[in-house]
This record gives sequence, structure tokens and C-alpha cells, in this order.
Amino acid sequence: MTIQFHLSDDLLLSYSSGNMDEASGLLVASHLALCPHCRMRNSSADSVGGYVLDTIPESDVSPYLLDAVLARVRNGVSDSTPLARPISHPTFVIPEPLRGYVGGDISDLKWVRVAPRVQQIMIKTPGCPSQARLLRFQSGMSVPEHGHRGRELTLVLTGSLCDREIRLRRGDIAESDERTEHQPHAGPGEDCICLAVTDAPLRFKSVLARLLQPLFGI
Amino acid sequence: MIAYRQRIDGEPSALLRFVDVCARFSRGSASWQSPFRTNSRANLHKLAFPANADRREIESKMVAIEQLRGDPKAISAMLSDSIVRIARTKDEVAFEVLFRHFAPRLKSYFLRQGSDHSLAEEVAQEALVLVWRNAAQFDSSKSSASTWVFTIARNLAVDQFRRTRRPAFDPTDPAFIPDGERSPDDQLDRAEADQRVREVMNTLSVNEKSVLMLSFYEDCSHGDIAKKLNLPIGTVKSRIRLAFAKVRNALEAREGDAE
Repeated sequence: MTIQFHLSDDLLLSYSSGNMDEASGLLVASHLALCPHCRMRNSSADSVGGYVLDTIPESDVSPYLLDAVLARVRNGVSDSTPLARPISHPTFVIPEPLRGYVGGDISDLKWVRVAPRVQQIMIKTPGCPSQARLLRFQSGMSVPEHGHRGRELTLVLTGSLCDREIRLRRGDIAESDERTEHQPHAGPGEDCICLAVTDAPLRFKSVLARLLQPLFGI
Repeated sequence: MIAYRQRIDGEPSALLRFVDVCARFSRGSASWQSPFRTNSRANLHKLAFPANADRREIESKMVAIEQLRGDPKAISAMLSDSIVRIARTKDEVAFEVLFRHFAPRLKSYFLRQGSDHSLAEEVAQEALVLVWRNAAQFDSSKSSASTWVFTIARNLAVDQFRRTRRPAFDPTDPAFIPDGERSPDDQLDRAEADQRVREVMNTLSVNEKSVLMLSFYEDCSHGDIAKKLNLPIGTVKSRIRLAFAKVRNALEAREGDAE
């Protein structure tokens, strides 16, 4: 399995610089857990941060600061354990940090039905302007045709999501904005579970979907 | 290749070489020479690392840091070595060297995140305590000292000033997909990559460099940067993208060369 659709530079830079909201950061970090290629690019963004720190003009610090720090560390406990080596475990589907946010792996999830063959789990990120949710589409199910008032990020976790000619699989990212109008549908086979983060409600085209929208908070 | 990224046991570390230079300084040596280019190993072994360095020694080290300004590679190797020393022996001299380098920069970074002087210093203190406590997690083959300290500072800034969380992946998670197996020769050393980033940053135009840096060290959205520079937001976004693409391409080209 190779991931084909990666994080944009914009997303990587916002994440690396610390300027990203929690819900979007959750999606970026979950993709990074699955994608060594983007982790390498993320390290490059962090390196720019290191460069910035090195070249920033220096400020005067209080002459007591060093003693204050030393006094704290002399009595403190050091975390002397280097990070453990990762062991890949194929039975987990949802990577961290997402698993912690939704309270478990696939079999532990409590889905809420939003439409026939569509379920969701809202993810709590208090005070965050964006909304993250897990969505589950049964195979072949179409999302009603919709546009966006803001940005929508999608990370596919199981099955596949087809949008026009493109087929997104596990680990792939889709980024939509105000200009996108689309009608994605779940590919054949396994149910499609994806993490979606929106910074504004979707705009559905059909009257019925619009009527149902407030009921399900999409 | 950074010459000192891996220490061979029994060989004097970058910091020891550095102390040697300081010692030669204090002996009034007329011609200063970078400790990272010297081959006089015999002399180096004669110097024991001071267990309790006095003020004068520290001061002479800082003078030598000034002398190293033109040699960022040497400074980077020395800073990395200092973190390794803290992890191994809780070396306070090594810590002071790090402190002198990073404390004034950390304070500036936090000031630019929108805090006042006293809060910036408080958070800088927190960051430095974390540098000490987490020193064992630092891996000099994965990042330079500056990049590692930046990630600590950035996480604190998100926590303290944005009052939000920054979710991060967990390399020990069973669902984590590890990097593919590559031989150590093929893998572009992250510390080396950091050095490469530095070189590329220095070749960017003033415009490209300033937007990329603004997006990092100030609590600035693209919209804020656009206002500050009096530019349309589209221009800011494309400049940032272009500048980062140059940095990234330079690294990826190197990775390609290595394969």
C-alpha cells in the first residue's frame, strides 16, 4: 500500500510552525503516523523552525535565569529513557493521535446514523473553530453533491473514496476549498471510514439534503 | 557530512575540542583556530573535562562561541554534543553552553508569540528545563540541536499562548507505519539536512525568506502577514509555498543523489 495523496506544503508549514487549529492538527498528525514520506517533509519544515530560532535576534535575559533553571533541574527527575523503537501491528486500524480522540479502535466505536448507510462520530476539540468527525459510508454510498464555504480536509482510513477520476485509499488526503463542488462516493468492497475536518458547514445542493443538514450537524 | 555527528568512544568530543580551544585562548595563543578543524589529538587528551567549571572557564567558552560565529556547522556540532553530555552525565557546564546560546533566542521567540517580557522569560525557563529533562530523547542523527529545541519551544508556545493542543503522532504506537529500511549510507542524516536547510535559506531572496520566517516566529496567520507586508494574501501564500518548495527540493534532490 502506497499513499498517493499527501499533505500540501501549506498544511505542513502551519502544523510545523504551531499555527494550526487542533482539529486540523489531528488530521495532519494522523496522516503523518501513516506516511513516512510526509514525515520527512515535516522534518524539513521543523528544520526551517530550527533555522529561525538560530537566526532570531537575541533578547537580554535576567542574570538569575540560569540559576533558576539549574535549581529546578538539580532536584528534578530526568526522563532518561530514549524513545522505544516502533513495532508495527497490523490489527490496529486507527493510528494515534486519532485513536485517543475517538476512544478506541474500529471495534470500540459508537457510531451515530446520519442518513441511510452513513454514520458519523463527532470528535470533541473544545474551543476549536474547525470540526473533526469520523464518517463511515457503506460501499457504493454517495455523499449528496455539495460545495464548501471553507476548507474541508479528508483522510481515508479504510475502504476507498472515489471523487471523479480519483480513488483515495488508506492514508490518502483530500483537500477541498470554496471552489470545490463534488459528489464523492465510497468505493466497492470494505466500508469507507474517513476523518473529515471542516472549518465551515458544507453547502448541499439538493433540497432534501439541505433540510436534513441541521438535524445531523454536518 | 558533519564530521562529529557520531562520537567514537575514546575520541575527544566536539565539546572537549572546544574546551581545548578555550584553554589555548586563556594561555594567550596568538592565532585562534577552530576546534573542529584541529588534528592535534595529543594535546586534546591532556585536557580533562572540568567537573565544576568556574566562571572564568565559562566566559572563555562564550568568547570562543563568538569566534565560531562564522562556522555554523561547528556551533551546531558543539550544541548537539552538549545535549548528549547532559543526557549522559548531567553535565552543567554543557548545559550552561546551551543556555547561553538558546535562552536569549527562546525569549525572543516567545516575545514574538505575543507575550510580555516576564512571561517570555518564564516560558523560556520552562523550555530550558525540558531541554535538560528530555535530553535523553535527543537523537543527533535525527535533528540538529536547534531544530530539537525549536520543537520544544513551539509545543510550549501552542500550549501557553494559543491555549490549544497540538496533536502529534506517536512513533511507539502499534498502528504507526515506520520508515522503510534504508542503509545508514543512503539516509540523509537529519543533522546534515538541517545544515542544508541553512544553506538554502541563505540563498532565498529577502522577500521569500521574510515570509517563510514570519510564518514561523510570529503568531501570524497568512492574513496577518499579508497585512503586515501590505501584500495580497495570494501573493503571501505563493511566496511561502515557493520558498518552502526550494528548501524541500534541495533536500529531496540530495536524498535522490544518495539512492
